[in-house]
Amino acid sequence: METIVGTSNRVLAVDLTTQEFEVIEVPDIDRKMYIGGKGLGLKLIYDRMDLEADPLGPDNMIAFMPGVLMGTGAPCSGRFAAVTKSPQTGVMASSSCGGPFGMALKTAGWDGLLVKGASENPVYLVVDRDGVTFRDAGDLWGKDTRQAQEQLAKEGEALVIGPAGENLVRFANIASGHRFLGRGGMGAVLGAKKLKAIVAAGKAYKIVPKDPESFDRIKKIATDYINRNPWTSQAQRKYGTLSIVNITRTSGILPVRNFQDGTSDNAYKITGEVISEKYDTRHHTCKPCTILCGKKGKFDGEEMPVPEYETVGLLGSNLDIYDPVAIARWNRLCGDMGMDTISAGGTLGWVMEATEKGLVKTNLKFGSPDGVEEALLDIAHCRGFGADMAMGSKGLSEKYGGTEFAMHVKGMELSAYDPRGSFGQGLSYAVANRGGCHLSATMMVMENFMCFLAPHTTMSKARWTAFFENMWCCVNSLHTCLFTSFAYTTELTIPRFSSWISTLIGMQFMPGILMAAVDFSVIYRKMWQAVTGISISKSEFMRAGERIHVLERYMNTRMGVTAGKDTLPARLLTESRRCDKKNRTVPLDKMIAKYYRIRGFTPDGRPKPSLLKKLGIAA
Amino acid sequence: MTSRRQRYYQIKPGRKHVKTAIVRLVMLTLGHAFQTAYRIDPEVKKEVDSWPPTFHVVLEVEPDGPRMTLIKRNGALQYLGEKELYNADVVIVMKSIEFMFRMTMGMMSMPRIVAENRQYMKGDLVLAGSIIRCMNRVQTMMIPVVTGLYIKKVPPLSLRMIKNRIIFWTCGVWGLVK
Amino acid sequence: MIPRYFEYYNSVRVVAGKHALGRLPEELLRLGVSRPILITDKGVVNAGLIDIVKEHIEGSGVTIGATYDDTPVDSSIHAVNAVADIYRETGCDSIIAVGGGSVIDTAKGVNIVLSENTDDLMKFRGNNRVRAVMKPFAVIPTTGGTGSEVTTAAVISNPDENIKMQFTTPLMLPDFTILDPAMTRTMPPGITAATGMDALTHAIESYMSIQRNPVSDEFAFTAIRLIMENLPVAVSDGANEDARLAIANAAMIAGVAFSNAMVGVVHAVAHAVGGVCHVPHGIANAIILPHGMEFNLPKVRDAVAGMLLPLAGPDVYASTPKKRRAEKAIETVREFAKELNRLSGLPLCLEDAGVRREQLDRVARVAINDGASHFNPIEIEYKDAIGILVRAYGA
Ligand SMILES: NC(=O)c1ccc[n+]([C@@H]2O[C@H](COP(=O)([O-])OP(=O)(O)OC[C@H]3O[C@@H](n4cnc5c(N)ncnc54)[C@H](O)[C@@H]3O)[C@@H](O)[C@H]2O)c1
Ligand code: SF4
Ligand SMILES: [Fe+2]
Repeated sequence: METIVGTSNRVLAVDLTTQEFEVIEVPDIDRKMYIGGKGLGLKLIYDRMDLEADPLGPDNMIAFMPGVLMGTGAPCSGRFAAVTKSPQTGVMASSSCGGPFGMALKTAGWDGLLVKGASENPVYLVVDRDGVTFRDAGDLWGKDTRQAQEQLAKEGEALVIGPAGENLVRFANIASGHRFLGRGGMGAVLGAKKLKAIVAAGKAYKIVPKDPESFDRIKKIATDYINRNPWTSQAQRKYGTLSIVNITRTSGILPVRNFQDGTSDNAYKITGEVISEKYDTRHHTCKPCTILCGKKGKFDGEEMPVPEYETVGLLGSNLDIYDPVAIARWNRLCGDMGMDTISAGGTLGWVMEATEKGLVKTNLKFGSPDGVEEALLDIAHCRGFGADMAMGSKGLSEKYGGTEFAMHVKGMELSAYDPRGSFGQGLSYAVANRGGCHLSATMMVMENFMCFLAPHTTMSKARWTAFFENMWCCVNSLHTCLFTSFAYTTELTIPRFSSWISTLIGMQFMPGILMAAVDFSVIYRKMWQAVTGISISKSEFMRAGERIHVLERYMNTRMGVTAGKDTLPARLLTESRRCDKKNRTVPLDKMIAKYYRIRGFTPDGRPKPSLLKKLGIAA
Repeated sequence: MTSRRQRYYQIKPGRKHVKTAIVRLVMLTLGHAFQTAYRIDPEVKKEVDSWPPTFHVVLEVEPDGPRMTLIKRNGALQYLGEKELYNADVVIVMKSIEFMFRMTMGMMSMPRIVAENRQYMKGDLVLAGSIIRCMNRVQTMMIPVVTGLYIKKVPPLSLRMIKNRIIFWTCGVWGLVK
Repeated sequence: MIPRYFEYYNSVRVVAGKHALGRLPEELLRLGVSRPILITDKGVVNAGLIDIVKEHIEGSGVTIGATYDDTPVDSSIHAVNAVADIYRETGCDSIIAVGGGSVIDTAKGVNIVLSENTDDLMKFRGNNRVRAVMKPFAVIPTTGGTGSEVTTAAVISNPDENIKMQFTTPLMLPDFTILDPAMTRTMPPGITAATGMDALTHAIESYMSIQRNPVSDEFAFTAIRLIMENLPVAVSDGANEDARLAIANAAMIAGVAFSNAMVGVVHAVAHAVGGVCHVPHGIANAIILPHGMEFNLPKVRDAVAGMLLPLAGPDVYASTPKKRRAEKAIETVREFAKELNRLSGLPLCLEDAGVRREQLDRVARVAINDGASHFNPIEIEYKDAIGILVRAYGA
């Protein structure tokens, strides 16, 4: 087997219209400026794509980008990113997935795969070290994601869409193994291109870091951190992301009845602690992974993946349903159909409330599992009212009324954290590049999990939101699992040996000093350095993160995003949760103005030309 | 109209700022003491380990006075200040700040508070006994000499207890033992 | 003894005496309801007690909307939810419980579920969680012991989560209770003795509790006296209506006493023995009672000494030197249990009650977590609990 030292810097660009492909070389300067993964994917698309392109037209491009760390054996590095213009939001979307496709693509020698054009008939691609072959997917079309992957298994690791993607459901996703490129409707992008699957035949190359000694050293430290940190080694490892239910239900940020309430007395039934005991859960993770958050369990005697927290939050509590077996079933159904559980749950939540209010006529109602399964199938196949539901809550509410309780930002349904109990999260939802996404700054982790920031104040929120957005852009470009940040940031000497209260005071009152004094990104940076052999300083690294974020924002503003779109659903700004005695709502305006200032955006939310120049995005 | 208002004057609830502040401070110390005791006192550790893996305990003063939030999770007992919790597993509610203040000052012991019905509990009462036992140990660790004013039965002085007191009053109070 | 502070509450209308049941329809109509659901268990039905109730409502305008007779021993949440469903389906408007502690606790749970209109009792665990206006509720006790007809507490098990849920709120008190000797006449001697000892324990423990107060003390005294005088008669001659009525009253009075003063170590341990080894509540109490009194003696010597008066009567009290009175009181309780043992075979030690020695450790661990222990004058630690258990184990 041949080896690749560091990165191959070769990206495969495929045109489906002409059925041709070419190889793009990534210059070192782009590598240093955009790190890899998501960052590089954005840059590739920015350089090549007409930003006005129709997301479901042939001009839209989609990039699949395994990260720099993939294949090196770094902890939790089995993840890859995808970047495209989203049909759900009409702006850029990026997504991260831990399926086996990424590793196969990388070990086939490619640092990325860029797909454009559209085919007339269903096709699938087989990628190997020499390039791409186009195959007819006539007999795969219509199959669900599990069947399709089974059929393709002998050719390599597959990336497939399900019926939802084929039928252009706005929140269709892409599956690889039992994991998904979940958000942003990427499945519909492939569906529109009539591309049912991409198979990568890997194992052609071995990936070794440029500087193996320092890589081993840093890898050992990183592994120690993960195994020592209580969040990664206990909460996530034992109960998976479901360990979060206990946090959100007690913090009052669990969505209940389409975000009408923030907690439920019944929510104890869906906590990770209860589910792992009742359903005998075992690991079922991305590979390689050190934290091991993915789980599967025996539900009613049937082995199924344990739904992730967001799924339980939106297909469960958000619909006022607390039956783990039903939720696990729907989770698998959504997986098979190839659609995003978060958006599906958010949409159903809207439909249930709209039914209650008489805006639409369905048999769905809060608290009742009846009809949910049929509704999900209808959405995936765009049958009957399902065709409307496939537009998501934004499309639905524009057609039938009821926008004030359509819980989405820029068309993407909110994730399972209610910002009325986590103001910073409210800001980060509103300004997140891809819409109602919890992962852009994960402020709820600071506010409600670790409690290093007071959740019900606006103080310092803008600064930290910007900081974490930058840092997570780096992490998603490396690309490693975001959960490693629990360990990599809090096990550093200063955070580790300071008390909770002093950290709270530091983060709340002196964010600047903390950001300067603590090198939160050190592990990530050193890993990247050891693999690529390019040296990068703390400020350069964080600047790269900022560059990636601002580039995405800049592309979005050119696609029509302005300050007016950086907002939250009216419900979060005007209605309070039932459980909250103090009747809080999100004071968004205050935070957003500050955020723009900190970011260097104009008051209408555009990156200032000077900022673009400083970051080297535009000349 | 005004004269009637003056004659039949209104009495507003007002606030007991000093007492509230003192209670707040004591609760901060107590919270850190719990956190410390879990690490250094084997009996407290044994009790806490017998609770479910994730467990929320709140001691609060009605109507919205100071609060002490303790969460057992991820293999540690964490003190999280005045974090608001919904649906905590056990909530010990003091009915007024006055009696919380008396308790913190040793003017009223915890058993007296219970007997006089100055507090009530929400949630899983089965573990309340365990919490109270921990509270006794923790208070013994916090308070030398006058321990008897706070709890029913003062455990005999041991070398370990002295050591724990030193650890607590040097590192523990700052929240450094976690 | 006047405590620095105390609270007393009891809102239950008590209708007691021979043929008291005749007042049932009238009391219901006074509350403005006429279609109660009747909650009971199989033992009570087999003893023919429901027929007696039926007789008394004949021609009164009150309809029993539904009868639920599947209540399990030690009330469970499933029974509670089942009854609530039946209640809603059959359009009932009030609740009557006819039976022992298990039935009454179930009915209390049903009342919460219905009044709060919920299907999940879990969130009402603890003190004073219920806020709703309760449904009209009547209790007709058929065992003379628990005093549940006047207590503010209920214990309901949740087999799914494998826990016992405790609820206390004054709102759970019934609107009225009817004590009719006809309802307890059918009780077999064994159950009579056991439930009677439960009542005696309530009275004695409330007198030792840290929450005791002048009102509860008075109730406790009367209850003790009534039980000491009448229980042996009721056990040996079940048809004796006077004795039956006295015991029913004593149980209720003891219930008022301990509902306001709470119980202590004996109940803590007895609850644990019941929970772990499934020994009936009354029997466990009877066995633990003298040992619990001994355990508390250092702190409450005066109180125990004072109880000699109702326990043994004025003659013995006067002839016992002051210093020996406390010991004499405990002695009297022991003798009393022995007498009941002769009359009805009431077990005197845990071994006879079917407890295995290796279970004691578990029992002690459960006992120290029992809610009753908060009100005991002396802190109960593991070694104390195990000490009591070991002493109570063999005769
Ligand atoms: N709420 C409270 O304050 C309180 C206090 C003490 C005990 N309890 C609870 O009460 C329960 C024990 O109650 P209990 O001791 O009354 O027993 P029980 O209600 O469990 O009844 C015991 C048995 O006696 C039978 N029985 C009852 N009356 C009869 C009669 N007149 N003739 C023939 N058979 C009859 C019943 O069918 C049953 O099989 C326990 O669950 C305990 O937790 C509650
Ligand atoms: S921690 Fe979870 S999401 Fe992250 S790589 Fe591991 S299994 Fe995947
Ligand atoms: Fe009892």
